[in-house]
Amino acid sequence: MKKIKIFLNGLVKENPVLVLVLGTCPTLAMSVSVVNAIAMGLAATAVLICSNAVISLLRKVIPDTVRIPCYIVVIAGFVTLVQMLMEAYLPDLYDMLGVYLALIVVNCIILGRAEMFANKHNVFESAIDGLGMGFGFTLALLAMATVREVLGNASFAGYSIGFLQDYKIPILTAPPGGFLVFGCMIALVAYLTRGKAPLKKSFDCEGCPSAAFCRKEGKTCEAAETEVE
Amino acid sequence: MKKMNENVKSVIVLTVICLIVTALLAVTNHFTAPIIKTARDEKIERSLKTVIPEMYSIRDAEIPEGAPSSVKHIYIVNDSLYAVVLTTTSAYSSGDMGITVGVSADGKVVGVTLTSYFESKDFGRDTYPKNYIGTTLEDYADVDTFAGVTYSSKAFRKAIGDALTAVKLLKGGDAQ
Repeated sequence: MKKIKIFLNGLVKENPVLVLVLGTCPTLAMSVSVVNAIAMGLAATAVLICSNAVISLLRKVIPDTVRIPCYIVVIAGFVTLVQMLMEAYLPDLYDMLGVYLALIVVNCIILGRAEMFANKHNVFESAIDGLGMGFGFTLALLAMATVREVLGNASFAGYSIGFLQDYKIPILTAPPGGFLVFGCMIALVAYLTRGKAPLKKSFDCEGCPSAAFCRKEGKTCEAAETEVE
Repeated sequence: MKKMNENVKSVIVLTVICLIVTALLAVTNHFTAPIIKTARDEKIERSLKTVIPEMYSIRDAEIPEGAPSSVKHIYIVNDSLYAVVLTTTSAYSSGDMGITVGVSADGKVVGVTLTSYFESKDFGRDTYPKNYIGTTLEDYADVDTFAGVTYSSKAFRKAIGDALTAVKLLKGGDAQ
């Protein structure tokens, strides 16, 4: 039951894109077409599952002081692996994703989940969290891409929709259209999940991924905050 | 002493993780590199057909001394045309920009195609490369760069210049 809850968390309640507002850059860039969105979503999901599992496996070995460089090395390793496999076996998709495939390394969803979840939970739960978050990311991308491609380009997954050809809204395929659809989607999800989305306190000092580290160093959250100021 | 032990442990853990990741990537590369190379060679072959559609004979030419380092291959097509394969990069590029340029015997660009570039999805697949058709070493630099992809189009223009220079050197001329 707990596992299902972890999985479902990433889909709606803590959707990385529409609720946590992470990974905005690839979301806006890759939601122009449905095929791109699915490819990007699946690539990020594969990296999320693997990096979450490995980071969880190593959580007791990695010292706190070098945890971020270790996470980055692991994540970059998996992204490069996915890149090599994609270039070899799915070259068209590889060309389509372009620079955004390599940019998965710095996708905040992946580093964020490593810090917030994988380093506190066991391997299986972390992998499920990666799967849930990855699917949440893919679904958000897919929903945005559907709106943008259908209304902006009168097509779906590259297939032309005849009766919409005269009613295209080209701005939706341009960057401003991306922001517009993104904003509307966030508003819709906020409306639908009213009272169910993470409470604001999750984002305060206690909700900070470094809170545990501050406590270990003997600092209170408030003291660390003052230090930063 | 405890602090020092912690530091040593941190260095060891990070080094071990780096080594394991490197080993994993080396194994993956061992299996994928030949497939990627074949796919790239096929892409270059397709690009040659794009820049010189009526191709009935092709042979390798030696890259002349002093040719720009971006020039990777030169082919003599139909005994009178040249196809230059270049790999260059723009200032912001995360990967190489692959370009194939077709040059006629009198030093004019007859065809250009971008074989790989990851910085922009559309650049090079639009009509921009066509602006260089018919240009020579003397006037290729007059083609404007493309707003929004300034660095990419500057790198593209430089590649055209490199191709024309290489062909001129190959024919025994002075690049200057």
